[in-house]
Amino acid sequence: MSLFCRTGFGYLLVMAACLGPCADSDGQQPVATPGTLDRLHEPILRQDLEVGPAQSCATSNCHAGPRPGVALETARRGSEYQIWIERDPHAQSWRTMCSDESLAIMRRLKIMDGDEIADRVGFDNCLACHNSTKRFNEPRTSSNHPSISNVAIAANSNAFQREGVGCSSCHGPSQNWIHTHFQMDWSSAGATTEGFVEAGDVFVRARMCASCHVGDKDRDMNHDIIAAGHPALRYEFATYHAWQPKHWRDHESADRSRYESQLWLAGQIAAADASLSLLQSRSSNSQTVSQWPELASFDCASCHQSLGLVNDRSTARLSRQAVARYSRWNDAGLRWLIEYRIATSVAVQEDHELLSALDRVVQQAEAKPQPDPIATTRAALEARMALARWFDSEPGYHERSSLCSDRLVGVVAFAAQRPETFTTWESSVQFYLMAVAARESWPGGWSGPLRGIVDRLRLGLSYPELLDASRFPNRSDFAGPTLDRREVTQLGIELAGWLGPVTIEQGSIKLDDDETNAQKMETELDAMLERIELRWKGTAEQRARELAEFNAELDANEKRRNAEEETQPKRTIKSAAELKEELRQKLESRDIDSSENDR
Amino acid sequence: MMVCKRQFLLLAAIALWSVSANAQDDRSAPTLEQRLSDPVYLAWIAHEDVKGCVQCHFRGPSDEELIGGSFVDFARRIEMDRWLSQDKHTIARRRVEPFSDEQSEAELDALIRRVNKQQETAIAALQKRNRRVDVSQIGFAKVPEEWIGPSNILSRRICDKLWGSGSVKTEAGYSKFRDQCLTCHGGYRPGDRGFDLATIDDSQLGIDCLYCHQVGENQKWIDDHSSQNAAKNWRLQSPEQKANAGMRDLVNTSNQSQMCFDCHIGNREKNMFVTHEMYAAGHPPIPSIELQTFCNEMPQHWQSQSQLWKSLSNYQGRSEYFRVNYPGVSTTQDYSGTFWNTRALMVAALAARVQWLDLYIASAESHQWADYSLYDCAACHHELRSHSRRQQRYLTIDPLRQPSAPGRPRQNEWPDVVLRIAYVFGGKASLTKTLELETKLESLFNATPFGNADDVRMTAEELRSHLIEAIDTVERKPVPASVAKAVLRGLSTTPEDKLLTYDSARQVVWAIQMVAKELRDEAASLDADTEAIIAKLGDAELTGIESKLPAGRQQFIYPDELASDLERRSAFEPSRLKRQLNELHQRLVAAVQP
Repeated sequence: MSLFCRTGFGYLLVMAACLGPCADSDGQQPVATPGTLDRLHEPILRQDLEVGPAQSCATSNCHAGPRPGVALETARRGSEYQIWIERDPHAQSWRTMCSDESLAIMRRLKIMDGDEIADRVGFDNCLACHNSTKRFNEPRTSSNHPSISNVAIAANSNAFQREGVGCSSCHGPSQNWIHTHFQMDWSSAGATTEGFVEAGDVFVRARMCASCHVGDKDRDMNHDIIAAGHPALRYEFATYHAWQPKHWRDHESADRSRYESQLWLAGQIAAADASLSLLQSRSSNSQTVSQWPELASFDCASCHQSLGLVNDRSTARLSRQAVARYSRWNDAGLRWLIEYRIATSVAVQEDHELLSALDRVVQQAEAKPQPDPIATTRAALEARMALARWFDSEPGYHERSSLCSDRLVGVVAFAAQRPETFTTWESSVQFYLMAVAARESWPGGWSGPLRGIVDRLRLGLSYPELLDASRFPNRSDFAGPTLDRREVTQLGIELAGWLGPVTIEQGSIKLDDDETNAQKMETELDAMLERIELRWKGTAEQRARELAEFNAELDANEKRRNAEEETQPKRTIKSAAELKEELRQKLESRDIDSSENDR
Repeated sequence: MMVCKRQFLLLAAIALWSVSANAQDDRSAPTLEQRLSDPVYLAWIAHEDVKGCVQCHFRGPSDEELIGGSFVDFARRIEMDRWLSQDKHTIARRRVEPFSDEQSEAELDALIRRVNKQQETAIAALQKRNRRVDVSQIGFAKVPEEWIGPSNILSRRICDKLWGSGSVKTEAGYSKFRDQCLTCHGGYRPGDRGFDLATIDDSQLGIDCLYCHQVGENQKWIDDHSSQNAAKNWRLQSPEQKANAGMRDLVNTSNQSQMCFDCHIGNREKNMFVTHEMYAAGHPPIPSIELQTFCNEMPQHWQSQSQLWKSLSNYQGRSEYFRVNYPGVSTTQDYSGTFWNTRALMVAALAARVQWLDLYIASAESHQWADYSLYDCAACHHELRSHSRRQQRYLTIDPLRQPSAPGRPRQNEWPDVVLRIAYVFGGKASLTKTLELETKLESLFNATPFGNADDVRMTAEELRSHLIEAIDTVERKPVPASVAKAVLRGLSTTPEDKLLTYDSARQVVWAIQMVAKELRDEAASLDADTEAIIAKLGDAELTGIESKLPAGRQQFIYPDELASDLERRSAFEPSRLKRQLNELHQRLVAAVQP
């Protein structure tokens, strides 16, 4: 116990969280887990506040003003709704749910039986991300009965909004701030308790997005759903942020050396926290959608690989464990940053604690085919708390204030040396994305010498094309220069060489030990066989001479015998036919004997 | 002393060289020179426990026995010849001995010294009998791969990965290899001598005769079955009586299946189990097994029941022998119309299912649950594709072990394809309960990934005892040509959903080809076009399935065969095979319609 809880208070928190998502006195669904980064996006976890439909924001005086001109940069306050509904894929997510493909997925999962919804919990789990509200277990409604006791009414009422991912999905339930948020004295920073998500803060924004794009305690895109046809989630905040049609003024982008680095950092922190929160809910007993062990927590490619004698497309690992690998997609970047801090001697206690807490999660998840759910829950929660402590103490402040591309290139150069970095497709892509996030500090910039290497990595790793099959691509499936693990390693190290001093650690060489050893053994065997065969040749020649003498003697004997035979009468040898005939007669006489005996 | 004994045995065995009884054998017997150049043959004929078997079961009956009428053709007495010259079991251990280079070199030096000596002794003996030997054809210029080759290196790499580099060179490391690998590869049982690092020699190259043919330590059967009165006192004894005397009843098909399946599927209690860790370290995938196909490829050194029925045509106790050993298979005194191999196909399918259930039960009881190798390899090891057949099948309906939850590691699929027919053959009364229990078991694997150990154990035990009865029922039923043809039709209707894994698809191909061969052998041939379709089912170019296995002592799995096998596995998709099966089905149906 002392291993994971230094204070009595901490122990209570851990135990409370181990029992599953905590419920408040009303039996209300979970809100924030204390001591974690849940506080950043807490409003969207709340179930007690009324949710307004997107339409309620869409008056022309508010957020549905004139459409923006031609470029997003000119987007002015007031046109958010238009941008969202016309250009933002989030507005289409309800349609996605209604597509034939989605229906087939839901039928495979038995969520739907024909056109009827057969599994309400499963259906709500889909809606948790594909719509602003759930349908059945949804205490928040747009009408005036937000109480839990009205679930049945809510489920059958027309209040259900089929709008896709609308305003409230990201900005929070508006019950308490809808009437005040336009006032001059209203401050978004202080409105979290009112249910407003402070999405202007990039760290809050990242955590809020990760809730769906990674998963969270109340939304779980699990292995069953993937197996039924849903793409796996391989989300990276900075990348998706760039793709998102922005309905806000993107102030931060002005400081280019900070902008993408900070987005990268926010994304890594958010993804790590969200994935741990998801793991925690998956492993605790109260989960209803996932089954333990939840295979979606693992690196797809560690199992989903066609077998081959030598397979450079597969995941590699430094240890010899034969269980699935816990996915590093969501914590690879954070680990590199902390390891870089340790390597550059700026790390403090919180860095070390966070790293070992993350390690314990991996150890638990990979301990055996069916990992201990209680220990995993505990490890996940501890890691979340360690992350929150890191975020709120000196390391977190420091990186949030000062991580810019100049510093991030150092992390990139450092990561290329780590033995684990290029072991999997997931980790390799994260490396590539980190390198891109640091592009402001590339020598020669975006069009400098690094561009070629990065383009080859992008094409070769096929990200984002391979979002739903996270492994080194199959050459036959993709035209163009696909890469395997070795090639990615080489390119990665080449890239890092432009950004800082690269010293290859022993471990990355170790990865190839197996094949090198095998080749060495085979070469040794061949050499040994050659040696032996040469030795045998000498013996064989000697023997051949000796044996020839035997045969010569045999010839002499034969001649002598022939000579003798000529003087003696010949022995006749019975033919097979004669022998058979003899046998037949013998058997016949025996049959006669026995039949006589019978008489 | 050892050398003297060996030389004596050698002389005895060499004296048998001019084997004439191979007339029944469609494979050409090795020449004397080949035998004298075969280290495996030379080692086994000098083996203490095998000498007795060699003496009687090598050259066939003597002229005296034939003429004197004392020979009854229960055994052709040429079994050892086939086994010694062709059967891979003879080198099951030698091929995986994790020799270091120094060990290999010492081994090979010892080999050449011994073989040279044996050859000289043999040639001297032959010389006395005025037999000529072609010296230029004796010996080997190259190291025989059967003795030492790439698979020894593979084994060493596997050991290094499992227990640490170089550890198998120590007593402690080698004892792990013995306990976990030599149970199958060497017939090792706890307490057996000759399985320690210090005592490695060439006396135990693989699985010997007694491993399969004897139960326990009782050797009474050896005298009993070979005595002059055996025809009267031994042959017509019941299987139980023979087992009591120490002989394993391999005449019984389910017994035989179970013995083979211990290694070819697994038996956790006997430490015969390839764990996922072993696979991940490099052990080739254990292929699915169709009993009779594998026996043919060994090659089979015993007579099939239909051969035996013909061989015993002059023996008065023939019907009695068959009645004692195969009760219920014929309702008359005549067993000639029985399709024994088709019968074995179904019995073995049921026995294979029982073997898997035993693995579940033993894994649950020994708290080693959820080792990945309890599940179908292809359930996880496949490429990820959208709109794949794997996904589509959740929308289709098939009564036997239909998956209901996507994304859960599945039970091995290959036994199903024959099982669905064997279950029906077991009779309607039993079928309902069987399917009910299968569905229940499947639902447990769907309920939670990998299944809950205790729940699975309980249902597996229930199904197991039910299947033991089903096996008994099936073993007591006549299997005439009409059943064989129906089985063929049944196999040809295997739904595409059941052919998703390479192992399942190959199992269907093996089964169809085996039944078709039996129809041919029993003069109930199919028409030429149907035969042509069947012959091509195992043509990788046409269907993606390669039905030939690297069987026999001269063919090796690692590395080339394994590499192509893995490629075929990963590239396999069932539509081409299914088209062929559909065509076959139409022909088979047309053939029975008036």
